[in-house]
Amino acid sequence: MRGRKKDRGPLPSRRQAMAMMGSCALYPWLRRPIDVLVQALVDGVIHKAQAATGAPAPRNYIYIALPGGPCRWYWDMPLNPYADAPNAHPMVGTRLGADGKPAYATILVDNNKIPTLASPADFLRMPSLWGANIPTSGGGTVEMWRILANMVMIRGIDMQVDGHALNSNKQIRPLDARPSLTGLVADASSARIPAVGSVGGNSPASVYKSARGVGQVRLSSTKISDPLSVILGPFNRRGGEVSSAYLGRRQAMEGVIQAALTSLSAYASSQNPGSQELFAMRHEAQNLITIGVAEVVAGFAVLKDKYMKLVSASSRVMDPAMQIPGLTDRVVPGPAGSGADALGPFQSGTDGNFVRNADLRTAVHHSDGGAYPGAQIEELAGGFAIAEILLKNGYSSSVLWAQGSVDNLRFDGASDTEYGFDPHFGGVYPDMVVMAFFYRALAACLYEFSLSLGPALFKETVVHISSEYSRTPEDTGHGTQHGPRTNCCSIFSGAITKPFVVGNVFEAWKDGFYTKIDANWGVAAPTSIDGANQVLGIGHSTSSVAELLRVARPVTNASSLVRESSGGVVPAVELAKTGGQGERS
Amino acid sequence: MSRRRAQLAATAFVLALACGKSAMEFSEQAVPTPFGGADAPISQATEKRLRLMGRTYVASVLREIFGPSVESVIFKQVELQNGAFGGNPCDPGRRFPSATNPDEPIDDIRDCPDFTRGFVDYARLVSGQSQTELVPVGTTGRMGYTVRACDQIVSQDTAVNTAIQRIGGNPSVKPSDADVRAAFDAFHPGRVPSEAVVTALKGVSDAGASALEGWRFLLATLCYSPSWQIP
Repeated sequence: MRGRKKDRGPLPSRRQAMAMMGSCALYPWLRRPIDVLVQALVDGVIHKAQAATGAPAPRNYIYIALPGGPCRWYWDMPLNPYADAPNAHPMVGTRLGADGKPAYATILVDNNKIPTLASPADFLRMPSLWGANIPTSGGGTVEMWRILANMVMIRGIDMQVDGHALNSNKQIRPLDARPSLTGLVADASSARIPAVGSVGGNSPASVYKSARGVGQVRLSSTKISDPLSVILGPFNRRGGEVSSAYLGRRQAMEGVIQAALTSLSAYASSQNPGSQELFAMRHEAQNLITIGVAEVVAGFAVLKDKYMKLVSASSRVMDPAMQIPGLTDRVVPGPAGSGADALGPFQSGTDGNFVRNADLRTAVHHSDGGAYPGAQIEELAGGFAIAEILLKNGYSSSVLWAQGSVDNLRFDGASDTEYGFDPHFGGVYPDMVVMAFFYRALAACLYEFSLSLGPALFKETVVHISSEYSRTPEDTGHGTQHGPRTNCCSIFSGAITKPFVVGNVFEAWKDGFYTKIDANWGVAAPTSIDGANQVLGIGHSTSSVAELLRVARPVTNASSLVRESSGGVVPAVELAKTGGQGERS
Repeated sequence: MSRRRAQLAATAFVLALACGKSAMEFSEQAVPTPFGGADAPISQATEKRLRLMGRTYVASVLREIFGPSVESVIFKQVELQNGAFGGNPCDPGRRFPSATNPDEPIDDIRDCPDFTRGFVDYARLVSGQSQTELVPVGTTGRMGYTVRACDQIVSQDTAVNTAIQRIGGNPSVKPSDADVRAAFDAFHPGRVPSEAVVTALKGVSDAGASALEGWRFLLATLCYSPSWQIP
């Protein structure tokens, strides 16, 4: 093209004009000049970005959203991980106390459990659920605390504003003007389908944004029956799409067609250096289509079944090996009495509906589920199955999905069969039982996922779990409210070899409306960062995830709270503290 | 000067006036780091990735060459695959022919915020949450859809005959050198192929079992080539 420029005088070729106008220019002469200008500027920006050099390949990124904002004090938001005086709000329970009411209790995780916790003084006090067993795909169980070895928790994140979609989206794309974490990973990925996002259930997949122009394949849900045929659609030639006679004739021409494509590649490379990469992609695509992806697509059902069984086994909360200490190792009584005070803590998630099971454990542990008895979380099983296939086969580098609810519950006396993650009317007792089930099932899937990836791939993978916020307990126990000052997230990776918690929270906080008791439920308090006291924001958590992913920070002026050293991932700030008193102004 | 060439020139002139630069300099001038400050390097491994044309352009080229009989293939394999092909982002005013009923166009809201809920949230639309990449790059997935589209198209005699007619060839005679150049031009308007490319493409058409087969696989080869999707 450059060689012909002289022959054309001042006139641009169609290709040159197109280069200015970008991809929207079907008929350039119909476009307004301002459109052309804007497109050309965009092109220039992209071109400059493409000139950037440097850093190693990113890690694979799995983001699991919990839309709605469930209570996190059961699981990845320990209220006082480095001491054991949390001053927990009376409705913030992880188990039943001696009086049968919610009680916050912890288990000690030290070097007797995780050797990388170097000394007896090096420990974590985790919510009591971590003392439960999780099922394994082999049919046995292991202690849930084992997955802590590869886990970092960030708590005390102040989202500053309320709002579900707004805060859900910020977890991966805190600033509209910058790419999402998913997009940043996809930009640096050489995988065939760089990014996959399930948009169902108010998922932040809808805010995917690349800086490079790498698209995201979208699923409507991880619950659809055949998601791999959608994701691998480019390579999944349908029966009858072309006749076998055509394919036979086409195959006979393979040699000369390849020779011509090689010649076209050389020609294109002389015009546009780098286009040989496109021909390599084309060649790979052709091979995948020829070989077919039927086996990979079919593999989904097998893996989903594996994860469904883990979820189902997690629902067996009354089986001796699967009881949750302090919670389901005894009868969890239903409501006694009929007044609002008696029934309120047993609301089913819907205003005025109450769970009347004589034993609340039967809400999740029952035999009404067909092939998978008990409560179910199909999106969880589908999501992990998709992620395992795509990562192990090198198809994708970024997979995102959102958990909608816990399904197939048996709430006696209430019409609800599912329990969502925005439990305004989720009484403290059903919430404790259902969410303990959910988090244990999540832990079981994480454990299986990490084993399935194997050490090398798990080390190159970051699983990020977050939500718009944790919640504010109501003094009455009738439900919980949004807690935008209580956000937290957890990060799992084989690159993490020693667990820790960062982010400070107030030991005593008074909300003043729903919560009049001065107590702790994880409200953000200042943390020392870069020599100054700051309340953690979403920029700090996304910077921390970006640090482990090896991509640019979505918020450039927020420091990472973690860093990677030769010995593994270590805190870049002080470890979590719990103290002080605050009040909503 | 053809009308088409004149229009291109006029557009480029306007652009040059607006920017004080010649058209091609745009891709080479220094610009700020995208989206942030100096500490925000945006990825690395993709530095050699070329910008490609979007789904609208790809669809229009195939439509222009092969005619109306391939409309459903273009719709399914290209226009609906905005994640792979990028191009024009959420445009609630744009309508597609329905795959099931061509007489009832459907809104193109797949890329719009909240499209899964069946409506367009205009407030979020203006906040820039469009999913389709305006300036896309190549992925293996995109190439896969291209291959599938090309095979489905050239396997149809109607489409191949339409292309031959539009190129100015004769379906009863294997493509000549001039025909090969014309076919190349249909996919790469304004570009001149090297002699090596012409020879290699002629090798494909000569190897066809019949004249029509020669044309068919010449068109298939050109269709497969990512080169025509590079701006």
